[in-house]
Amino acid sequence: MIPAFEVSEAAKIARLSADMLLATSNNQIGRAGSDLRRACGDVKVHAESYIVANVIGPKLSNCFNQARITGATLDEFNRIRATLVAESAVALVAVLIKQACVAFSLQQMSVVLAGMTFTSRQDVDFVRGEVNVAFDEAEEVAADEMALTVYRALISLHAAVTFHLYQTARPLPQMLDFRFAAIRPTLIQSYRLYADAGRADELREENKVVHPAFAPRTGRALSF
Amino acid sequence: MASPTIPFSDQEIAQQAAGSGGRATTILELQSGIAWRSSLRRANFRGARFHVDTGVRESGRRVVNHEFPKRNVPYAEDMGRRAREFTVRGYIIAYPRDGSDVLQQKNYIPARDSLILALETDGPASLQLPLLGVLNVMCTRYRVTEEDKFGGYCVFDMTFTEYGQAPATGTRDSPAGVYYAANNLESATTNAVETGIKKESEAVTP
Repeated sequence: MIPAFEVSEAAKIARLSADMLLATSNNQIGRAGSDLRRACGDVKVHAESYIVANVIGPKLSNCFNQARITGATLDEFNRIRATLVAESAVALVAVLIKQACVAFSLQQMSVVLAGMTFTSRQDVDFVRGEVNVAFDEAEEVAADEMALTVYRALISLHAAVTFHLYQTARPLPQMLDFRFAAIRPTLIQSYRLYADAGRADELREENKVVHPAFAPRTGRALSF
Repeated sequence: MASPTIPFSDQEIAQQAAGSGGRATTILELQSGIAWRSSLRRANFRGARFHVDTGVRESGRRVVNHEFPKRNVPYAEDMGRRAREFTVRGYIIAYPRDGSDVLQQKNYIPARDSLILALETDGPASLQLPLLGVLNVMCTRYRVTEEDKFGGYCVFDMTFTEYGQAPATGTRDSPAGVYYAANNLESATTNAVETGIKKESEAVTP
């Protein structure tokens, strides 16, 4: 039997994860929202019993899946991951639960990423940087703990995500800086840049232009 | 004393064993010989046939040994399965008269040349050995030996390695690759938690 203090420490981490998952999306309505609340509430109430019965893994995994289905974003999962990494855990069971929640966060981040649409290569590069840091930390911990299967699964997922981001970035335009001689309307800037005045709104949104008739001389635009 | 005839079919072997009063006198008369003989297949590589003298299969696990200072117990880290390697000694020999089989010909040169061509052709191919099944392999090296004193006979020493799977296979559709790897991570993590909690509860049980 696992000592009570170990169960209690592990349950604290499971509850923290459930709380953070409940706080992910403001749009927790409908069936998906109620499923998430039920799954997280269940873990919060019965965390100790689930740890003793050794069924906490699938329960937590279900909570993370429900959060993604409800609409949790990449940043939200990354915040959960970072909070869990910073959380201290001493007992072995608590460490296991903590590492499992970090791995589930990475899993959900990857699935969210696979469904995302990017507009420029810079966006992809930024996300790739964030994801690489997240995976590197988890891989190092798994290697130190000699968790071979988890380590191999993490490496495979990291490789699949990197390949997906590379494939996504390849056909996208780069974001380039431009500089005109004088202040002009976005319509003229768009026509000069793309020979198409129809992309004026895109320039206005990208550069946060206050009035489209007087767009700043400098700004950023997609390369094609 | 007449030399014993060598039986060829399962039935002949069974009859001979029965004829000797159920007492086997040579390995060919053993009842147990029938079982494996029935699974014998004719050897070929990329469709080119040859006789087999010896067939060797090698593999194992790739292990990195960690030895720690001031510790008696090492740790053998499992890095995955070693690629299977097959070392085959085959031969082609001239027959006294032409038969229907490509190997049963007075002229052994066409069979020899077709095997050489198969071994030098680009890409992987299936290798069938008498008792080791059909395998998708690449030929890494071969050697043909023809000796003056053994006319009408040549020996092939061939080395094959398992072709396996190119790393990019299955990940061309990149989102599908991500979903697949994500599912693997989920199951690996769930299993690791279950195993860890089970070990911990067994370790602290008085």
